[in-house]
Parts: sequence; structure tokens; C-alpha cells
Amino acid sequence: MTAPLRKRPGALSGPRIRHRCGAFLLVAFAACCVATAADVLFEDAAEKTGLRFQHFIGATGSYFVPEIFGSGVALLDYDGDGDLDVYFLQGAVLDKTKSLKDSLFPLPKEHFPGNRLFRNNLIPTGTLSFTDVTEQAHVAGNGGYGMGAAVGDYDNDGHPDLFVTNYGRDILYHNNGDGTFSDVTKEAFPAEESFGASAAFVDYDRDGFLDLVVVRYNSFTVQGNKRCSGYAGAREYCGPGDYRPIPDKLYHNDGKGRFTDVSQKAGLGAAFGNGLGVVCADFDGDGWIDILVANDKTPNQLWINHGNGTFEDDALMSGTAFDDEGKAHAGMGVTAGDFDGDGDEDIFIANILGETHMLYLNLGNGIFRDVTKLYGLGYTTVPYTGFGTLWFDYDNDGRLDLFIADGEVRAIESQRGKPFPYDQKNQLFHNEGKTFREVTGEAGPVFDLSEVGRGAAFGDIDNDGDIDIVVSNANGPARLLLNQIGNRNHWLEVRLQGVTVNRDALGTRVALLRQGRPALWRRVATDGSYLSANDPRVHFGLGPDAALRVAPPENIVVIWPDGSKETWPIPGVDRVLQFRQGTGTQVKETPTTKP
Amino acid sequence: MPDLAPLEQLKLDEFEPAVGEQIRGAYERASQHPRDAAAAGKLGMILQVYGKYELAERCFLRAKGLDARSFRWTYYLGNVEGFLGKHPDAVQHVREALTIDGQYAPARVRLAQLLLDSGDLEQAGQLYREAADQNPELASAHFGLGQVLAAREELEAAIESYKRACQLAKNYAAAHYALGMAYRKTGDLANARTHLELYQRLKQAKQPVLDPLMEEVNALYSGGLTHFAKGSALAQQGKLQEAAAEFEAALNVNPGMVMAHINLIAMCGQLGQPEKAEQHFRAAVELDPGWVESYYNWGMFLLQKGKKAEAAEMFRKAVAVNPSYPDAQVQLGSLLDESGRAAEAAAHYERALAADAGHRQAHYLLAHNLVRRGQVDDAIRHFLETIKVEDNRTPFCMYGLAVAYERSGDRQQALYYMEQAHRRAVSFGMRDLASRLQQDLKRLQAEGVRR
Repeated sequence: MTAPLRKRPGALSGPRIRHRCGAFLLVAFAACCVATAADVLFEDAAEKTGLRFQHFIGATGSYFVPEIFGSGVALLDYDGDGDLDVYFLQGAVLDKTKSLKDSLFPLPKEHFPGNRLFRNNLIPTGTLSFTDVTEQAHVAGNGGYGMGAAVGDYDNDGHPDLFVTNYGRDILYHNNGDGTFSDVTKEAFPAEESFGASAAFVDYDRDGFLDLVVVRYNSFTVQGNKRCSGYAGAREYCGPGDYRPIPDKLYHNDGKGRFTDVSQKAGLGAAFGNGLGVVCADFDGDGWIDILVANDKTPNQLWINHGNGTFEDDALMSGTAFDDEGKAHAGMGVTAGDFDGDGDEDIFIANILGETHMLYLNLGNGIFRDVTKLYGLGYTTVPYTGFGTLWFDYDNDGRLDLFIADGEVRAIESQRGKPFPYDQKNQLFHNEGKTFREVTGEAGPVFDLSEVGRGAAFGDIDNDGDIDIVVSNANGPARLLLNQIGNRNHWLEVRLQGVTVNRDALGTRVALLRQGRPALWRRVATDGSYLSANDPRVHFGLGPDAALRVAPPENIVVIWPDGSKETWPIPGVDRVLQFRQGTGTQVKETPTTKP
Repeated sequence: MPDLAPLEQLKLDEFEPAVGEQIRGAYERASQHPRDAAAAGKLGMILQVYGKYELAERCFLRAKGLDARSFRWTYYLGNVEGFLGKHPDAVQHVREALTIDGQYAPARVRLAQLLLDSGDLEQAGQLYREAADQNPELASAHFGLGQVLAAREELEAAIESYKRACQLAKNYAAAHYALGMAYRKTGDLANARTHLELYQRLKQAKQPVLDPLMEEVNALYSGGLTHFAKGSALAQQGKLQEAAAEFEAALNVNPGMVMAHINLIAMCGQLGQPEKAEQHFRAAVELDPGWVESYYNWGMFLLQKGKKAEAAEMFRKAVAVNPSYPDAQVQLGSLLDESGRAAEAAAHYERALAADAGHRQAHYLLAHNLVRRGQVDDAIRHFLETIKVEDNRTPFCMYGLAVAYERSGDRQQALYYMEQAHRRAVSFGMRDLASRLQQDLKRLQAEGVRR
């Protein structure tokens, strides 16, 4: 049941920043500023905020595989001003014998070509709007076909860096901290020509520096483009089985700004499929970050971190390789989070039309159960091909919900004759404890749009305490789904700063302890979804006033990636808290239900 | 009652010719007999088998409209609605089919599956039990019951149901998978591994027919893929003549099937039909020059004929089309090695390993290449990769490893792997290799005594 929406009185004043010395720094942002309809959950604000990005697939009639996979989008506060900026990956004409004029589809009228960085003007203007700063920031790309992005501060200098996967050569951008980036690929990263998909920064060896895992799709080449057809013979984009898969990559950061390919040494060459999605989390609860790779029509890999620089694929035995009948699904987007509030990382993977998406429930020891059907995600997801997805609490009720950006990869029969017959509606599911209820129809007119959804990035873009979504549509306009739930329910956001661990604190587990109620567990992460990077702040929905009275939040407990634990009291709600490693109270035990 | 599927939507000229004809014929029959439920239903079945679910649904709706008491059309309608994700409609129509004729147990299983899809364990469990009572030999009913029990955390009971399903249908991969996972959750790792291994093996095999009526739909497939799949299976069994005939049949149905030409290059090559092999190579490249497999297979044929220069040229084409095709990289490397271009060869082996880090032949050839170039430490690393698999190649790999250790001065390890290689060579009945190993072992032992 959705309660009527209303904004909290006084929430529309300009952003206020209060600083406190000592144990923690408290930053409270007021809600911003885009006029909203009060009766929708999400409103598309891309056009009116100037986030006018049109994805270009570069199709020239040859059905090159990367075209159908679209591109991703990343949220990062590149200029450190306290709001999330948006970076879009862009496609290109793949056939070097052809040019833009050979494109089957009209070229974007603006913000083209190349990847695009849009600066968020919320701070200091107080108004959510975006300015294309790509040229000033030097992040347009290298002419490759932009696929995905990962965000992380790999040199711990306090400025988020950017890694871009391409069909082509990947790019490592170092954030110079002055509004510009430098392409440091040549000196710092052993890039090679390949079909990169999702990537994630992860400190797998706990040395305090973010390493990088890059998932790759298959061995498609333009020269080796095959003419593929559907079951009945009509031409389609080639599927996952038409080219050999290629192994994923793990790159170790030496702490001096250089990455080395350690894939083989770490064991990642032992198994691979058509990789599209990746998420890093401690799935078996041993304190070491593991890696889950979602593969397209090949078994997923769950790389269990042995803590000695090596990994072993435990997907089959853990139950995450297949569905409950042993079938490999077409894994695209993936997310990990504690949707059932028992303190461990559960997995959701978006799949293709005709099969369900996958919900894997962690039984607490790294063994998973396929509970897709049991939780209402069975038949409801069968008609859709899902890509970008994330566990996020859209209505601030304390439970992790799901959004899925949808769009087909094979021509939809009823759309034959259309130039790009793959569009579908996105889906929104509300977590109701024991089931997920589809609330797409209640989520606002933007959910009536039928587009070819691919990348999706999640974060509190207008700093109003709820999670917004940017969707990158293949061959279509990007959408900014501004969450209008606003202050209906209370919330807290936590930004962590590591000192001995990686500065972004990626991989840190954060618990919000409440009186008389189980803790809420979240993970500091920018990874997950599909080809995209998300807000590094941890977000907690706290429910309405009544919920606060019954179970007032008391403490934040942080388990850093090195295993050390600290706690801070919660001074109040509806604000962003910033905690620096070493400024809290050390704790030995985790005072909650289950770590 | 809906009209028949609008045929113009289908663009039949884009289909395989035989498929286009099949659809056109069924459509004409249904159009000429507008009151004939069977004609509309048959068209629906044909459209369904080619994945045209939305159009198939219209046909089944029409067939059902013409013959409301037909179990078949009602059941098919429910099924296709299930594929389309129209869950409430699917449940309603399969349930209705069961009221028309409750004797068909797979329909009860299908209804149970649909209810399980929506998380209704109670009703799904009851229906699976009813289906199992109705037809105790129906493996899918026991499997489904196992799923319900597993969802309720009644793992011991679930195991019993899965076991029954496995007993009733020997190749039932899904049941072995579910059984393995159930054992895994009870902590019985040994049984879990056994059934997961069985699953891995069986999932490639033909699966049991669990719903004969749905099998009738599948049987309507007339595209080239059926012949192609048969041909591939026969080729794996070494029945080359029969395999080639199936691939030819696939081409008769669909002359544009590049994959069939590619396999025929290999088949004809091995059957001593060089002209035909070349014809298929040329046809494959003409149809679509993007298939790396065409160049690779033709290169392998040329290699078998001893035409090494031409073979190398073909492998070069293959890696130009797709540098991540490891087999072509390995073959090209091997030919370069033979012609004394060891460094170039090594680069190709490395490229093969970049595409497939576990490529055993690439590791093996690169290791030998490195030994020859004096880089024994790297060679040892690659030889160690080759012995991760235990088969009749392992004695050779271990022999190479022993030699590399000997060159590196590690006599102890050299002796160890020489002995291991010898033991395996004897057990595989490889007399020549065993005898060579025996001599090397004696030499190594004698050198040890002298020291």
C-alpha cells in the first residue's frame, strides 16, 4: 500500500552544510528543487535539468554485437562539491570503412560524439541542473565503442577516478582534482583490444588500494562478424553462443598507480563465460571480498577469495551458476544486497525474455537457494529482458527494492517493421518482506515509456534523501528518474572515508542499529547493475515517524575491509553522515543479530 | 474470436525457405477453412515452435473459439500464455483444459509449475501429488514435488522425490541438479558432487519427454537445425558418413546454413573427399566471410594433406578474422615453430592463452618452445598447467615437465615426474613412450649415483 506523498515542511530551503569537529563530520543537505508532481513515485527530469544525452548505437546494417548491448552510465562526484555528476558512455560506428553518415539512425543533435560528463549544478546553485563539461574534463573517450564504467579512488587522493570499458581498448582516467582527468592508460594500465563489459573497483587483497576486475563478453570482431539468424531464419544480432567467450580480467594495483594483470595468477582464467555483469561482496562471510560474474547463457562464476591472492569458482556448489533446474540463464545486470535483513549478501540477476530473472537467497554460509518464484519474481519477470538493476530502498521503508531497466536483444514480433524493435517497459518491485510486488504501474508516467533500457545508475542525485536513477537507453534518450518519495519516510546516508583501507571504503559493511529491531546492513559499493557505477554513499530508509518511535536508530557500526570495527552514535536522521576511519569507537563484537 | 495471425507481419522471405513454406502452407489451410479449429491450431503450433508466441496465441484463441471443448487447444493456449508471461491467463486456461479432460497428468504438472512460478507452494504441491498419484511413472511430477518440498526446507523429503524422478527418467539432468543441490544444503558433499557431476554429463544428452503433447509442437520444427544437431551428434560418435548426410540434409532445408558447410569441410576432409571439402569451404566463405571456423577447418584439412604453407596461410586468415580464436593461433604457432621461427610461434601461443588461459595444447607447445629457447622456468610453469588434466596426454606432458626440470638442474623433480610419466605410460599401454621413459629414468638415476 502506498501512502500519499508529501514533502516535509521546510525541506525546500537551500542546501546547508554544518561541520562539527571531532568524531564525525555531519553534513545535512536539504531537498532540492525540481518542481514535482506529488502523486508519482518517479518523474523523468532529464530534459528539464539539461541531462540531454542521446545514445548512439552506430548501426550501419551489419548487426555488430556491441550495438545491441547499449552502454552504461556512472554517477560520481568528480569535482568533490557534494553532488553526483553523471558520466554517459557512448557508442560509435564500428566499421572503420564507414562513417557517421552511414548510420541507420539519426545522429544525436547535441552532446555528441564520444562519452559525456555532465556536471551537477545542485551545489552551489541549489537547483538541479546539468552542464556538459566533457571537453574541459578530457573524458570523451578514445574513439572506442563505449560500454561500461567503474568508479573508485585508486590512488587514494580523495578524487574519484574513472575506468571505462570499450569494445576496443579500455581507458583508465585519473582524476586530477581540478575538474580534469588524465588518460593514464598507457603508463598505468595494460589495456588490450577486447569486448569489455562491466567493471568494478575492489580491494581484493586488502592492501588499501583498489584493484580492478573487468568482465568481458566474447571474441566478436568486426572482421569476423557473422550473419546470425533467429530460430526461424530471420536475421538477428548474434547470440552468446556464436562467438567464443573470453576470460575476465583481474588487475592488481601496486599502490603507486600501476595496474598489473594478475588474472591467471589469481585463478580467474580457470572458468569463464560471456560476462556482462559483476558485483563484489563477501558472499561467504569470511571477511574477504568475493566476485560474482553474471554470464550470458553460460554458468555464472562465483569467485571465492581465498585471502592469499587466489580465487576459486564455487558457483556450481554454491548454487549460483544456474537456476533451480540447472539451466544457465542469460545473465546481464547483477546486484548484491541484504534484501531479507539477515545480514548476508543476496543476489539478483536480470535475464532475458522467456526465462525468469534470478533471486538467490544466501543461506548465510555462501550457499544459495534459488527463491525467484517464491518471492514473486517468477512469472512477473518472464516477459522482460533486464539489464541495469540494483537493490535499493526507493521508498525509504528500510527494505531493499528492485528496479530493472528492460529492453530486448531479439526483434519483438509485434514491433517488426519498427527501425529498432526491441523496446520494453522498465520494472519496479517493492519488497514486502516475503514477496516482491510489482509497482511499475504505480510508479509514474515515466514507467509507461517503452524503450531499450541498458545501463542504470543509482544514487541520491538531488540530495533529498531518496535514491534516483539514471537510465541509459540504447539508441534513445537517457532518462533521469527523480524519486519523488522525498521525505515521506526518514532516511540516513553515510559516506565513509578509509585511512588504512581504500579511501572510498569500497567493500565496507555498514550496519544501522535500531532499538529492538534487527540491524539494517548495507555495503559501500559503486559496482553492480549493468555497465554502470553507483553512488558510493550508503543509504538507509528508516520508515515514517511511527517507525522511529518504535525502533529509534542508535548507532552506526562499520566493518572496514580489513575486519576492524568501529561505531558512531547517530545524532539525528534525514541527513548525510560522514565518518572517517579511526574516529569512531573501536568495537570487538558486532552488537547485532548477525554480521 | 480473433483473426488468424496476420501473415504479412512475418516477412516469410526472411525465413529459411522450408520454414517459410511450412508457415505459408498452414496459413493457407487455416484461411481456406475458417471454421476448422484444427487448421487454426496447427498454425499456432507451427508459429509456437519458431518462437512466434504472440501470433501462436492468437491462433490458439481462434481454435479454442471454434472448438470450446477441445482440451488440446485450451492447453496449448495456456502454455503459450505462460511463455508470454501472461500468468493469470495461463493458469486459467490450463485449469480449464483440466476440467475438459483431467486424464492428462502432464497438464496437472504444468498447472502446478505455473502455480509454483507465482510462489503458491500449497496448491502446486497438491497438484504435483495428484499428478504423481494419477501417473506414478511421471518423473516431472516427482521432480516438481521435490521443488515444493525443497522450498519448504523439507530437504530429506525433497531428496526422496528427486531420487524418484532420477530413477524414473535416467537422463533427467534437472532432477540430478536439484538432487545435488539438496544434498549440498544438507551438508552431504559426496552425494552432492556425484549428482552435480551426473548433471554436468547429462545436460548435453537428450532429455526425457515429459509432456508428449508439447513434444508434438516441438516435432513440427522443420528448419535445418534439426538435421544439424543430428549431424553433430553423429560426428561426435565418429559416424562421419551419416553425419555428413545430415549436414547435407540441413543444407537442403537451408542452403544458407554456414555452420553446416563448415562441418562438412571437416567431414569431407576426413572421408577423403577433398573436392567436396573445398567446395564447402568456398561456399561457406562466400555466404559469410566472418566465420573464423571456415578458415580454421580448411586450414586443418590442408595440414592433414601436408600442405603446410597453405595451411599456415589459412590460419593467418583465421586469426586476422578473429585473433581470439585460440585453436587457430596454436596451429599457426606450431607451423611457425616447425619452420624455426620460435619467437613468432611463442607470440601466437601467448595469444591463444590470452583468449583461453586453460588451453592445454597452447601451454604444451609453448612450454616446449620455451625449453628449446632456454627459458626453462617459464616452460615449467606452462607444463604444470598441462598436467592439471589426467588423461592419455598426461604422460607426455609429465615427460616434458621432467625434461624441463632436468634442464633447470632440479634432478629431484625431474626424477619424480619421469617416474609419474612412466607409471601412466605403462597403465595406458604406451609401450614406446614407456620404454623411452625407462631409459631416461635409468640415465637420470645413474647420473645421481655418479654424483
